[in-house]
Amino acid sequence: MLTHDVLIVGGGGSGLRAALEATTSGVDTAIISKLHPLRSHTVAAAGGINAALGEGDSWEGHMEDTVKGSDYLADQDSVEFLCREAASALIELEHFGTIFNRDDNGKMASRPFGGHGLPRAYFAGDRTGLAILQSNYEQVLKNNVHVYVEWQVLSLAVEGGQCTGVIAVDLATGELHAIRSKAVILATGPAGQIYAKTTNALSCTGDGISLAYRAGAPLKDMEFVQFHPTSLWGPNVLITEAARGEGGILLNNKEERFMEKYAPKMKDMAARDVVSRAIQTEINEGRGFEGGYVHLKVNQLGSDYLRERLPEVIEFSADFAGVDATKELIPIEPAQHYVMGGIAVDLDCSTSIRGLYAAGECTCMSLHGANRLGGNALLELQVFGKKAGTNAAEYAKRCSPAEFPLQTLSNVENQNREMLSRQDGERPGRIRYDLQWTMTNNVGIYRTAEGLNEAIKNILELKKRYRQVYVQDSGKVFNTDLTMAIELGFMLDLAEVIAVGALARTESRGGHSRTDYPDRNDKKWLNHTIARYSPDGPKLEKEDVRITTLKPAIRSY
Amino acid sequence: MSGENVSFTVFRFNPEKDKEPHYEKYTIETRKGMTILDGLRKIKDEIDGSLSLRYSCSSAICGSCSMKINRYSKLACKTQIADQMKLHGKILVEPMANLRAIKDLVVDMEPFWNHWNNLKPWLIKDPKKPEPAREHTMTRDQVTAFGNTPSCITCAACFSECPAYEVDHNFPGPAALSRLYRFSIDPRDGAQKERLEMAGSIDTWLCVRCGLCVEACPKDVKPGEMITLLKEMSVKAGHVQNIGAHHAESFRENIEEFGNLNEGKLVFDTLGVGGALKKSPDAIKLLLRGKKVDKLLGDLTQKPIPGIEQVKQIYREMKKKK
Repeated sequence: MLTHDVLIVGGGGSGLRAALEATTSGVDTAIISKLHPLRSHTVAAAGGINAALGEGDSWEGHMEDTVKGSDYLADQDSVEFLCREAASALIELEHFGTIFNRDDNGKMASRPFGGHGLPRAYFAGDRTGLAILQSNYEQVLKNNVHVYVEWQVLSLAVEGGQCTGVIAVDLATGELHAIRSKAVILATGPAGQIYAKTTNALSCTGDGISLAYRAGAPLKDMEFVQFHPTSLWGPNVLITEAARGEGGILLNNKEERFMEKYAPKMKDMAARDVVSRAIQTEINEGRGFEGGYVHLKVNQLGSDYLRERLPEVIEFSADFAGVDATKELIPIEPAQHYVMGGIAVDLDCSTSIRGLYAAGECTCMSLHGANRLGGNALLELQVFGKKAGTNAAEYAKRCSPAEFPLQTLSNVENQNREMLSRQDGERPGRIRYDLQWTMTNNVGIYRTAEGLNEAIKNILELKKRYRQVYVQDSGKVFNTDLTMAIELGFMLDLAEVIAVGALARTESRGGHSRTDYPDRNDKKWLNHTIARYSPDGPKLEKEDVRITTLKPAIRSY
Repeated sequence: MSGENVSFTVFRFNPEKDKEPHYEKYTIETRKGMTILDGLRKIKDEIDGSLSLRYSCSSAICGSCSMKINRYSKLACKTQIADQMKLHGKILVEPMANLRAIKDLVVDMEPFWNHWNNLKPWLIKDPKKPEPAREHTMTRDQVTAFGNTPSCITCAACFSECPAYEVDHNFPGPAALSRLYRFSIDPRDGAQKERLEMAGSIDTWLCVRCGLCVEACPKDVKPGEMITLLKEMSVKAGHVQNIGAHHAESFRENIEEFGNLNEGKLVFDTLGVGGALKKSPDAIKLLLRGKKVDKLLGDLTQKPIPGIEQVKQIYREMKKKK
């Protein structure tokens, strides 16, 4: 059997950083990913990575902004760790070889980002994620870490509360493999594909979150979903927040700079949930354009400046919307962008399952609470990818050996065989389409009990339809029809947890906005939602928020 | 073109069933703004689930979905159906060239990655320089010098178009070489000597500057231009004992001295007498087809063209600028 000490599922920023740490601490490390690592969704992060490196800035200031941005739901010990580690994480990246933009003194340049009191987002043009992903990958390459490229994990191997490996399919051959590993780190990223309007890659199907959930690990705060204010209207390609950080402004159909109304102090640079709600309100109240969008104006910054700092904004606008951003206004609408919730992990990146660790966007520890600030996700990958690598390696060195539950392999074999044996039924694409629109229409920026009940009803109906899903491709080589169907199963699980959590939370906080409960309710809801798998749907519990120094206060921008 | 029906002709190959690839035609209803990737996914969802292709970000930033669209290597997610219909009046989709098709539009990327990895694409610290406590300082000009090389998304569209790789698989390809250039000019890198040695010893000079990679690159990396810069750097670093450098030097010498090219002399200068003699079977073939002797053996009576002084003046100006 294939065997490792530490196996990392996912080759994005956090997975690569974890791998580097594990391998340099001397344990046999491998990465397994359904994509080549350089295709991972980290690549799409644009605007920057935060650190309080500038003059007059401090980790405390960064923490304060992050906690306020989270609408006071973040666990403050987690945030403190993140902000304290930020400077060294950033400098480490620069030493890895990331090419950051520079100021006139040759130091790394920073730019303002939404919800931050000071400019502390360090950047590589507007391709910061690409730059960071490449640097991490380069280190992994240099250290000769084995990567199972285009191997997709279909199940965790868990017995007696201990994880001892995974079951995965090698896409090129279609063969199923059991891989034994003393420790497993999930670094599988987001689940944005459950929404119709999303900036997330087509591969962001929440695999790892669902694998952990099915294996018995609780999920945390799944109802908190971030909608990015500025995606291109239509294709929902991300237009980075840096466009506003550099001076771009939002305009409605009356050419009014409407953010002055919603966030008098920070205006267009308020936190993302605030700006997305404002745009949606403008559109809902008839001050958007036909089809549902508003304008982002960046042409006042000048074409040379735009080319140096925001090349991708120009390129995306031209390629996907036919708009010359150096001259014209960019049509934008909010779209799903990030999941604040995820696999519940402790500060050491461990889950409730022994030997199972997790890092990055698939987790919730909770750094971002009810709303993440821009630039903190790339930081999280570096800081907690490293930490997960350290701790998983350390665990692998001391853990007692356990049997690999081979039954898991035959279970997966049987499930796949059953799916492939159907001669007729509904195609996964149809079910996925209905799921995506249910989520966008009913579990979006503004939510109501009525809409959420409708969503839950629909999801349960979709789950029923899914039992008869029809996979047309019966072959073994690159059978992505089969893996798409399996991913749909993951997405249905998570959609249910999100909708059920959103219905239960009768308040508005950060990214979760209930028009029937428009206020934050600290008395009743200053706590996390924990969701556990059961055959009859998620079972919810509450968990205390860890508050250390910052008392919940009114949140205004 | 909303609601218009468009036919896709798609390369199909299933190694489990087919001896040879074949093409299938699918007709789908399109909408405004629909890309080739949208179209292929619609075919997979609604008509034939067995169609395999790679994709991920659908924002032209992950490099997964390169393929040949109407014979040009492109990202499917960035290519509009309407534009292709306007240009070509049809949609023909095939896997990238220079890489083996595993199934349908999915190609074996291993040769591409092997070349990429072989050139040590990571920062190598200078053991003599202590690592700064903070970031390395770098001027804005130093950052600008990288051009778009850091934006390479390893989509391999350049690799698919490259005729140099097609004739000689030792050629690392445009993407790998522009990455070698990116590290060669990094002021933080301590292995510049080794990198330029690589540029001088590997088959960098197989690049014939055709420019197809520059045209194909979806991120405007201009790989071909980076390769030219890399050649220049390797020559300056003294790596002149290879046929590429010999060829370039002979070319320059000829033009500077005479103002036109002495083709035969170029062959002898590039390959040496021994190397040139090895090519004599080719020479005989060329002679039989009517190639002139002096073009093959060198024109011993070559004289400077009228106005050679002006040519020389150009060279003097160029040397001054450097």
